[in-house]
Amino acid sequence: MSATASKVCLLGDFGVGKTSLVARYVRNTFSDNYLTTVGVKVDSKEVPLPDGAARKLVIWDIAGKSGLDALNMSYLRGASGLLLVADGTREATLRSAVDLLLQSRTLLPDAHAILLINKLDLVDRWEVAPATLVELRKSMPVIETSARQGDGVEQAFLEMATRLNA
Amino acid sequence: MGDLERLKHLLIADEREVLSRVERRVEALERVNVELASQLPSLVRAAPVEPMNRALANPVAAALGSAVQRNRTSIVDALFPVIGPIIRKAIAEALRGLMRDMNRVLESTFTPRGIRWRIEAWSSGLPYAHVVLKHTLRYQIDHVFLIERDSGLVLHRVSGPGLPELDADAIAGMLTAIGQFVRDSVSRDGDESLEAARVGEHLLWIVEGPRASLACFIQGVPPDELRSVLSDRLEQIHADMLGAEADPEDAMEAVARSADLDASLDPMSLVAASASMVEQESPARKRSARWPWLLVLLVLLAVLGWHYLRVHRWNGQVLQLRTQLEKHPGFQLSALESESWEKLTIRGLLDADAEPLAPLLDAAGLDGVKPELQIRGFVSTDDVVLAKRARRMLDAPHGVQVEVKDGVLRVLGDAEQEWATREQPRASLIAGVQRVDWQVRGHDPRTAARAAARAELQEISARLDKTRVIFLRDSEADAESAASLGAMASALSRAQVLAVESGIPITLHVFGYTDTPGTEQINLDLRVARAAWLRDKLRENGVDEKLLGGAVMDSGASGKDSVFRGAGVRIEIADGTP
Repeated sequence: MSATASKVCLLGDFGVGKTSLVARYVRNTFSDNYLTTVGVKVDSKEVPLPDGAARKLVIWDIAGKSGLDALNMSYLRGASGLLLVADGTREATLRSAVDLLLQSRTLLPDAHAILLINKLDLVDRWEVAPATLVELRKSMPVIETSARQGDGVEQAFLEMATRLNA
Repeated sequence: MGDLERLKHLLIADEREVLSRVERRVEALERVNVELASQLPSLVRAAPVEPMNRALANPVAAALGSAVQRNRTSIVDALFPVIGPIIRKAIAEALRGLMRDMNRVLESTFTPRGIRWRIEAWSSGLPYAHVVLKHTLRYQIDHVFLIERDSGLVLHRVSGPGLPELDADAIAGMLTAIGQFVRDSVSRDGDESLEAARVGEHLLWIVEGPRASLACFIQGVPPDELRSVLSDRLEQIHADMLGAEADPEDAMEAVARSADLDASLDPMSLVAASASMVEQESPARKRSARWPWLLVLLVLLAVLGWHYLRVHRWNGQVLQLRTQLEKHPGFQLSALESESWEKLTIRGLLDADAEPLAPLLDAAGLDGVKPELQIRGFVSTDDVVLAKRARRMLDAPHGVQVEVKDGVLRVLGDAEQEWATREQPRASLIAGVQRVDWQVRGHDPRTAARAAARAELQEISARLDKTRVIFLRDSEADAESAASLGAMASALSRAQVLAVESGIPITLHVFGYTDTPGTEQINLDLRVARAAWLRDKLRENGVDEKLLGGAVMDSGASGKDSVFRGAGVRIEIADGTP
């Protein structure tokens, strides 16, 4: 029997590494050109869970923007999870991620949300203060990732799959 | 408490208690009623779905019916924004189908392939549309996805055998995203959606429902009936969802897991259902569309037959006229230009001595078309024309025969020598005559006249020799014989005329006859007297005196030779050239 599929949307400002995270984690089916034309690229990945079950994540990589327009809102419809991506070297992208979360909550009040702080490989240049992350972790899961080195990437998707399977 | 109060308490304490409870209950009910209006939406939402649906089904239907009857305008206004796009969508779909059908028919009608299909339709008895569909609608369904409309997640998927594995979830997601992108980009009211996409021979059809969509990946050209089949299947899936579970999410998943869905969305099953629908529609089309074709065909055949007969008749008439013109002596046909029932132009050369063409053209018919003649003159060497020319130029007299055979002019017969002498040299100068065979006997017309006169004189003479006047006595003639005096006088007058005209001298002898009795002298006198009597009688009957005056009164007839009594005449014709 195939695993249950869930729709997960990646949101984040331009250049935070959403597409790189997906490319690191899944086999690309479609060209990245869709991001600049249609504004979204969809891939899927079946995530094995510790309990032996599996969850298929259908990942919608939505083109980077600091806000959600009507089209992007339509892309969010039916999503069960939100992966909010910020660039640790640019604190402004963290604010954008939070804003995107607040906007998407109007459509997806019950969706699971995880905040990914990307570019862990450049941690010495991070602008995001550790204290900020501590505060954020009180309201949502926060995972530090590096799309370049792969750190935290699988953990992020596994965390999402686990929460969706719960 | 006064006495009165105590008394009231004793008498109506129970009733006052009951009244108080009733008042409190009424107040509570009124408070509940006041609060119910604000609590009703949340109560409805909190109520179990299925019992609530069953409870509200009839009242809502009745209320809707009542509202339609009493306040139709408001209902129409409310529904108008919904009905309008639906109607437009249905009309647009029907027009697209019509255009596709027209294009398909037009593309295939006037090609060799279309003609071949039409022959196949006639020979097999199938409607033409069926044959076209059979040949053109070769297709196969590769994949069928049942996709949740909002999330784009694949609820169910059926693929054809032997196809490579693909990431159905990603494809369905992208498909949903592109559909939303297209809808957001081009649709004004947001109700329209991406229905089809084509790349080469690969075709994607999307049929959308309220909660799920069917995406069908096709190779080839499917019939329109396939879309109807997909719509039917999707409607059935939605109906199953409504009847399966109270929770929509659970209902969707339950239907997606249904084993029946594999059979329902199986590509071969869809193709078969589509073909069956085509078959069902074909007889109706056949009944409704064949008889006009037959009628048109019959009319066409009748027109073609009539046209063929007219052309055949016209061509026959023209051919017959051509044959007659080619055989017409003295006419050389150069060209015969025919425009059926419109114009006929005859070009050629005509000899002046040939028979005219008008009777030939009048007898040809030609359905009232008057031929246009473009004729120039020439000299024909046809024997018939040559003979006519020779007769005209020679002016052959009666008794002369003019013939031409193979260019040889033959003139034979009797003619005056003068004509023969004059015309014989001219005969060889007649145009077209190759040689002259002149066999004319020439003669003088006066000689012939004399010969004829002599012959008639001899005939008159012979007749007069047999005519006698019998005498009863000496000078008394027999009455019967005397009657022949007139004929005798006429013959003598005619003989005199012939002698004068022909120049042949004649001498009249008048004889008297006696029998043997009596003396010689008496008989001689009697013969003289009888001859004189006859001469006098002839004079009385009109014989010219010139003839009678020169007559020889011959009384020398011997009594021995005479056998009767009487008198007679004889003409003596002088000898010489006729």
